[in-house]
Amino acid sequence: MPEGWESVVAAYGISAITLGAWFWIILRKLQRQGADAEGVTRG
Amino acid sequence: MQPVFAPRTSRARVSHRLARVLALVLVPLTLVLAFAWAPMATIGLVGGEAQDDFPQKIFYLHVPIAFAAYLCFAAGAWNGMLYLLKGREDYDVRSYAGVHSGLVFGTLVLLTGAIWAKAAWGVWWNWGDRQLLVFLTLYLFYGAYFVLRFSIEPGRAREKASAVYAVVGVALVPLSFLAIRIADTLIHPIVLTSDGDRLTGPMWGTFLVGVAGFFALAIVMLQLEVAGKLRASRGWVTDDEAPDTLAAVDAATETPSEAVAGA
Repeated sequence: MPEGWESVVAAYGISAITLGAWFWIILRKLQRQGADAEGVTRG
Repeated sequence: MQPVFAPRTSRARVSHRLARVLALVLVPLTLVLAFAWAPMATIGLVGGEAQDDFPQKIFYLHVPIAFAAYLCFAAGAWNGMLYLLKGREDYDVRSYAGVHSGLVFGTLVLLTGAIWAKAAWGVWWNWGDRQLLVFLTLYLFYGAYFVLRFSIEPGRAREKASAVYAVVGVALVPLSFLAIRIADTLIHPIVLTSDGDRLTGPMWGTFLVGVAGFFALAIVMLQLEVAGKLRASRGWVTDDEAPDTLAAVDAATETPSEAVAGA
């Protein structure tokens, strides 16, 4: 493995986990609300 | 039941879906290009030979995420200004979503930057680097936005104070970008210069794909945050009729006129 690979894995891993968790949280929130992703209501 | 706000135009719906597709394609593509196409950067000389700089791969993640954070803060300020001009509540929510999203991306900028700094400089943080300090100031300034916002009772006063704060803070965005160029200490790498590239063609290509991808991702997250916060701000929580996926959500937006007609 190239030198410093741990840093690269850590940076990409933390970013993937954070963004994935954020997306999942918002999606769950929207699903609970029954809202759409574009702000248009179902009336 | 009243709609949250007027239905989107078909053009806006297309642009939103385009952002989703671009984010879905370009962000993973950035990873592929960063490791499979962009050449390994080199640093210094070790025994007369250049040494591979593998941690430089973090650049393709760290800088596009920083640009995404700037975009979100700018969106927060823009909508804050629109709120001050027009006084519509949804602009306040959009401004709030912009600051919120910017802070999430900003957190990642600080984390990935610290990891890169440890690998490149041997320290997690360098207090002598002006760009780091300006970005930290920007981050803490917008962090304090939440203290201000939630210390005021919901209503016009809170919305106005939040909007003014969001607008004022965006002045730190160009300063953050320029700080590296006016800094006395040049430990922070400057790669975006007009007098000669420090990136090769494939490096530029990967970087630009990354910027486009994370811009698209920021737009997607912003629109999701806005949708969620608008609903929450109006108390429109309907746990018993939740669509399962975004596809179902999209299907519901195919006929927005019906949604309004039913209001």
